[in-house]
Amino acid sequence: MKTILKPFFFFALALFVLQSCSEEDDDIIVAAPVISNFEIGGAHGEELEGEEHSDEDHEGEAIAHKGEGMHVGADILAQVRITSITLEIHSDEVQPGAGEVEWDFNQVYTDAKYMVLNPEFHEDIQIPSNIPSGEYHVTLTVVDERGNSTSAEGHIDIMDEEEPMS
Amino acid sequence: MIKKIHLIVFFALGLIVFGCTETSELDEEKPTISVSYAQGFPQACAQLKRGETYTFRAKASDNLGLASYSLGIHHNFDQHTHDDQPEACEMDAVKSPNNPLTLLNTYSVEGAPLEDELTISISIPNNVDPGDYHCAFSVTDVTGWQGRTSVDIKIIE
Repeated sequence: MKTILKPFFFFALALFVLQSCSEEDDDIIVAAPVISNFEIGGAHGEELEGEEHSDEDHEGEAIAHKGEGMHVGADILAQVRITSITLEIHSDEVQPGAGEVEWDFNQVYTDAKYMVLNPEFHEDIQIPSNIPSGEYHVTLTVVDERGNSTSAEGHIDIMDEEEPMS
Repeated sequence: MIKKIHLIVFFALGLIVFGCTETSELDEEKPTISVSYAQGFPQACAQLKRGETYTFRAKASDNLGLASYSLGIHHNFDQHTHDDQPEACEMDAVKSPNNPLTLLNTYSVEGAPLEDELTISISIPNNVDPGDYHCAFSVTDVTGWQGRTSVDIKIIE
């Protein structure tokens, strides 16, 4: 009886050995990337503290001026490599007036320095000077190589250009 | 005969346990990069003259192997900060950029060494805005972890 069962037994064993290893890569669930320290701001010192805006998120409401730069930063941690980081800035509340155009910013970053497990996102965005003032939504979306994605959202108040200091 | 089968079973079980744990071992160590040694350049608060050429040097290390570097220079006229800057330098006043120096180069590392030194020659163009800049080094290992260091520098006329 043993001689009949033997080939069977080895076949089953071989199958078990092979399968128990090959499962690894495909079936493990990879958690989506995590975004922390999401930060939006104009020039230094203009990111308001949260005290008077306790209903806002802990970053407070950031302010930037037309025609100037604003920076967007975030720390990202992923279990597999990041493949793209998308930054979107738009406003639902404001309508362009005379001589103004809608600002709908959308850029996908695939720089080599971001295609890692733990990138630090940092970009300076030039704000056009001919857009309507008001509150803009900023959305950062990161996607990893498994297709998992995570977004972080924030707001920035874009105001008229600062008067040159005399 | 039965003993033999037992042996094979034990062997196979051993294979499963050890064979699989080996492949799933995670690399949890980030590579490091630093300019904190005598020849490292630029050191914090270094002043770089326009029109001059400098050799940037940083040492990197990792537990598994280094894969690539990036070296970036961007202006800090708005005085933002990074998470990896221990030292504070004297800053110019906040200002708007006119023609800032912006540079981002990547370099691959051959052979996945555990230790390596990046040496890159960079010329500071004559027409860029003088002022405060960040010099950002990063190194990526074979797993995909990144190590970073950022140095405050000043470009002067």
